[in-house]
Amino acid sequence: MRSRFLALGLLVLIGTMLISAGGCFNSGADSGGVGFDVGEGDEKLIIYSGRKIKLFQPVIEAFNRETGIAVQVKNGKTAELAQAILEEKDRPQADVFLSQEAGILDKLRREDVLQPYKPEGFENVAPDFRAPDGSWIGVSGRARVIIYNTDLVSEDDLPDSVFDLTGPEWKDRIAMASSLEASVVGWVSSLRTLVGDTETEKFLQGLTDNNIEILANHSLVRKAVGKGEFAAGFVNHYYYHLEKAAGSPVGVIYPDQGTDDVGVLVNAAGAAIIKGAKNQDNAKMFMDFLIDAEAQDLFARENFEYPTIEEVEANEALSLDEFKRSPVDLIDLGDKVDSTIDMLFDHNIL
Amino acid sequence: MVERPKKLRWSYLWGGRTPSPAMVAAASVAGVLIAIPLLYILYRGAFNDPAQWAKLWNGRLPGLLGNTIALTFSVVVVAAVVGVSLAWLVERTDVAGRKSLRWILAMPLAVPSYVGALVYITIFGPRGLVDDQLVSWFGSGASGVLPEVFGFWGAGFILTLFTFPYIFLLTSAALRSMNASTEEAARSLGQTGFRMLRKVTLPLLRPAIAAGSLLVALHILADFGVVSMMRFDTFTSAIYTELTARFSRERAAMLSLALVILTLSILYAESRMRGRAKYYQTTGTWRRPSIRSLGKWKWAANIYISVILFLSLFLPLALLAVWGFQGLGEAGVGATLTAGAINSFVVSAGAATLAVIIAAPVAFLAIRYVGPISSNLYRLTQTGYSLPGVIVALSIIFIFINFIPSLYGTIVVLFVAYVILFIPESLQSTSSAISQISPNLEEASRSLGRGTFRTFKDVTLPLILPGVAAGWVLVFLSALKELPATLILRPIGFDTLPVHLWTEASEGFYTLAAPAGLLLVVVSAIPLYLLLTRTRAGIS
Amino acid sequence: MAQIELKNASKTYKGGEHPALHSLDLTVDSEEVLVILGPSGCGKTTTLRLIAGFEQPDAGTVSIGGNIVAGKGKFVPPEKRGVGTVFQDYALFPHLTIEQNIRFGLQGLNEAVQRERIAYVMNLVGMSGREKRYPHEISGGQQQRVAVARSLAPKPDILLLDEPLSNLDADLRIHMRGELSSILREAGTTSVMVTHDQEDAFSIADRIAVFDHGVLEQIGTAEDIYHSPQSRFVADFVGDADFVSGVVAPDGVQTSLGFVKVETKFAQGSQVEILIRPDDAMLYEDGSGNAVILERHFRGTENTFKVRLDSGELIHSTHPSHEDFKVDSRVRVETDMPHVVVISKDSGEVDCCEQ
Repeated sequence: MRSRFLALGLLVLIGTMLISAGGCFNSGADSGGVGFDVGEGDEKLIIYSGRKIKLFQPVIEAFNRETGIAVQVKNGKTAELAQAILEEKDRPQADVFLSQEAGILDKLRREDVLQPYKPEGFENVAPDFRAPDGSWIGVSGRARVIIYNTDLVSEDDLPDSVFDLTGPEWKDRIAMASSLEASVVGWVSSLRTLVGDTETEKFLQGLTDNNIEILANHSLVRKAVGKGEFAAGFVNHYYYHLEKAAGSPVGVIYPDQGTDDVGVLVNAAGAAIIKGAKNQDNAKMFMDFLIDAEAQDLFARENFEYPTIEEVEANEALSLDEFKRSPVDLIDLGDKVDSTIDMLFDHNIL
Repeated sequence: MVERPKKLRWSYLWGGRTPSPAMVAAASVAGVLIAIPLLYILYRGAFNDPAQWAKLWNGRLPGLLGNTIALTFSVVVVAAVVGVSLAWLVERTDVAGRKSLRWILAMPLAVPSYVGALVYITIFGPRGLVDDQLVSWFGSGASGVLPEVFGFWGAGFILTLFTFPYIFLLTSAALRSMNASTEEAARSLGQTGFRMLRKVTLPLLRPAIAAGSLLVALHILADFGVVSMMRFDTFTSAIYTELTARFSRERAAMLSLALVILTLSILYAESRMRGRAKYYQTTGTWRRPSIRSLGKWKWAANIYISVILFLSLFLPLALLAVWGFQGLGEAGVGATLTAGAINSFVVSAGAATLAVIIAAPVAFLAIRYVGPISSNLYRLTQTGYSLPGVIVALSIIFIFINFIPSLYGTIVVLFVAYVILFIPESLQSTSSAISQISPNLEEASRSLGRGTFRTFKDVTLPLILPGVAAGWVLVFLSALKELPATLILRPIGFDTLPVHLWTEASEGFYTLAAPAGLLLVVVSAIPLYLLLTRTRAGIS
Repeated sequence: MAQIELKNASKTYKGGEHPALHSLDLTVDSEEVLVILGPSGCGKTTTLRLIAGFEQPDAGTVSIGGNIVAGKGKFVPPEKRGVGTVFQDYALFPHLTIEQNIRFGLQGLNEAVQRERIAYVMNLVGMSGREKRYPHEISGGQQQRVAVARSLAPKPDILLLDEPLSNLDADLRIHMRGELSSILREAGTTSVMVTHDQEDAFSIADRIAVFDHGVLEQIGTAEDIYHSPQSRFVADFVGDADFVSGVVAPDGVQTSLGFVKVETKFAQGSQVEILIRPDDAMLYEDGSGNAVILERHFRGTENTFKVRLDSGELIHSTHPSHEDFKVDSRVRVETDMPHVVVISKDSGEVDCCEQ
């Protein structure tokens, strides 16, 4: 009898499965999941987003309010979604790709899966934050900074330069994210451009000699510094703001600001239209919207990020033109990825 | 001299007897599915410049491989000791609460091991809850007195805590179906206590222990979540580096190919170790084994079990509950989370059912028609388990986009992914159940006029139901926790509990992530409880 | 007519060095009870499995009722052969009651016929009234009967029995031999039974086939096999046997037991062995005899003595239990053999002669 009961149970399950495969469960404008849908209607837009969704939601809601276009978002990890886009090349599923980082967008451009488009205001975007042909556009900037724990580092001991962290006083006290974080690779690539391979290798060796702890991602770095496990760490600037907002005793340093110094690398999170996207027109409207002042203002206010168009003010004391930026080309950095990773591996920064 | 047949005959490929075409067709479904990632890996990885291989190998790979092997070996050994000892205590002794322990001890499988890692880091890590408490009691000098949670030992500890139930479940199922007369015969021959355990019970349990250990081993090969949080790099870390940092599918595929080869060699070694011995139970004279009284050791056994449960279940649940309570206060989590829970349950239950159905003929052929085809299909089918979910996901996109685009973007792709990733769990449980059944029963049915298929349905299936149910539970739990493939393959708007969990946790909002984690445990607990206490799977 | 016919059938298992069965030719007549006898690993079970269809022959053919069922590119699966099988471990389905076990082979028949067949076979094996029990609730002997009943229920043309008595204790075994023999004859099916126990074979078989190392050594009635073995193996395996060396002389063979008068085809002066059964050798108390008692085994109605001849050879002898000899005492051995079996040491050839 029991086995019959079980068999019946299995049948019911298969049934549910088939029904669900038929589409009962798989969408749902009302389910509003974490990879969320905004709005309903015939006009829609499908976004693959490698950006943290919570920080991006207000922008999408504003877009929907303004255009009436329903937006469906699948969130995930930037590199993995980009790989998915490559595999989907023959039958694109997404209309727009939001990347945490410009380097990956440029890789997609070279694989010929992006549709160039120059939205209104394209010229207003700083030239190093966009692909010259319009394949992708930087929508917000992230500065490479040092986060430190104010309980552990006194004002007097603050480093002026990233290179200071190789000093013996920082031994066992620093952390950074692994090469799985694209912005780490981009940053080291920029150092190679700015000071040369020999100096960069010396720098990396200095970090290794100081037993720098390599954590899987930036969130872990900011939390570890926030908790005081480490005195300082390398992160993107908005992690400092997140950790500060969480109530931790942290401060931020924009290093290397002297006249002869290398400056702070500013990377861009960007967006691109997928070649062959079904909703090309809506995708174009979305790109227009992203570099419109309203959206740029949202990035700046809600996310502590740097707007990429000049007329919008950043949220904090510093804005893009108020600190010294590293004079590097993001596209050039993309070319260095492979050799930079090899260099990082050589110094056990995995 | 014996004449050898000149032509290689079909029957020879199956150990001298031909299985029915229907059975072969049913088994080939699994073959088609596993071909998806394997072909993809070959297509992307095998035809690269040989110099690339040399480059891959010369770098940090040997060290990572060493890490992986050391971690796998250590965790398997400890998990086997814990799993087998718990199974023996619960099934053969009078420890308190043995009935409930049957399913409660399987519950740590419901806690995603990456959540477990997070919990332990939060509690015992540097500046964690315990550290802070020590500092508040004894001043800042007390900070850092706790042992290091990160690295080899930490990763091993977490993986052991959340994988030992594989071995526990399969071993206790085998203990339940083991004939008492075997043990009694041994006792009458003067074998007592631990000697009997070593000489008779353990050898008979070998297939189950091997099956469970294999699942643990392959699980560790594929794990990235725990090792990355515990700051210990393994072979999988290298695959993620190539895929994510270097953005090279080719090199990730090459490393995956190496992982497949490593997995296959583990599987070959395992079948070598298992040897040709058969472990049929004699039929017809089944009797319930006797329960030993632990006497004065009973309290020790109960403390042992409590410690394991405390570490692997109550501690993570307690912290999740604290966070969850805060999280519920911070944001409305109702409708979204309920939808996520329903989605999770439906895909996981569906995938488990499919996996069990697809695995059954493969296991049957591997046990009953031992030959190159069945053995290799059995082994190949298990390689998906050790592949990172991302690789399997990309391979599925590749195949579906190119050949069956109409199904891409539906939840069918999730079912396919879960079956590829987790079918070994049902294969192992089903095959160890089949190997305990004398083939005479099936032959008796054949000679009474029932064909292969009806024999399977009327005789084999009812008898292996406990094993099948155990396999269902394992696949269900694994699918329920799955994140990497789900993240890439889920239809737009279809979110599961782990996706919720990840979205919040990856931004560091643990309190917002906790309700999803708790719900995950609750959803897992229901079928575990029902299947292990209310059906023959738990009783027989 | 031959109901079962194996022609030139061979089978080698995967991983096996030697063939389990080598070029076997065997026929079983309709309604005959054939017993295959041999030590373990001799190929007897393989033969059964080839007939049942659980294995496929590598070469040769298997025919049932004149139709080829295996070989020459044909293979009829077990369920289509009309062959019933009783397994050594009975293979009763543990999840079904006795009645459901028997009904298992009756699918397709209407309910009334099914019930009638179940009642008939349950009665035949003396198990009526236990239909609702489960296999683990009945004794080993009862399980054996149910297994026979289950295989007979669909009225198979052929019944195969694989060591059906080996799991029973001694008393039950002797009782079941008789039962089985009469059940098989009453059911009237062609039967092939496999055993390693000659007593089973003697009491049940119409004919006995002796196998060794995958080869059919001899087939014939129990008496043929016992008295006129055609190989040293058969002589040794069937019945208790000792061998004594000797040399062929005119009109007989000179052995360490003395002169045995026999007409043998072997040449004078050639080295031979003579088969001595325990009931062929008589012992007499004799202080100057040619042998010494080594061991005495009490067997109830008779004693068996192990005796060492002065030549060093060992033989056994049975005597009624009232004729007793002390261990270590010297005896004289005399032979009284109606059938003398002479085996050439050179060729292994066997010559069976009436004395």
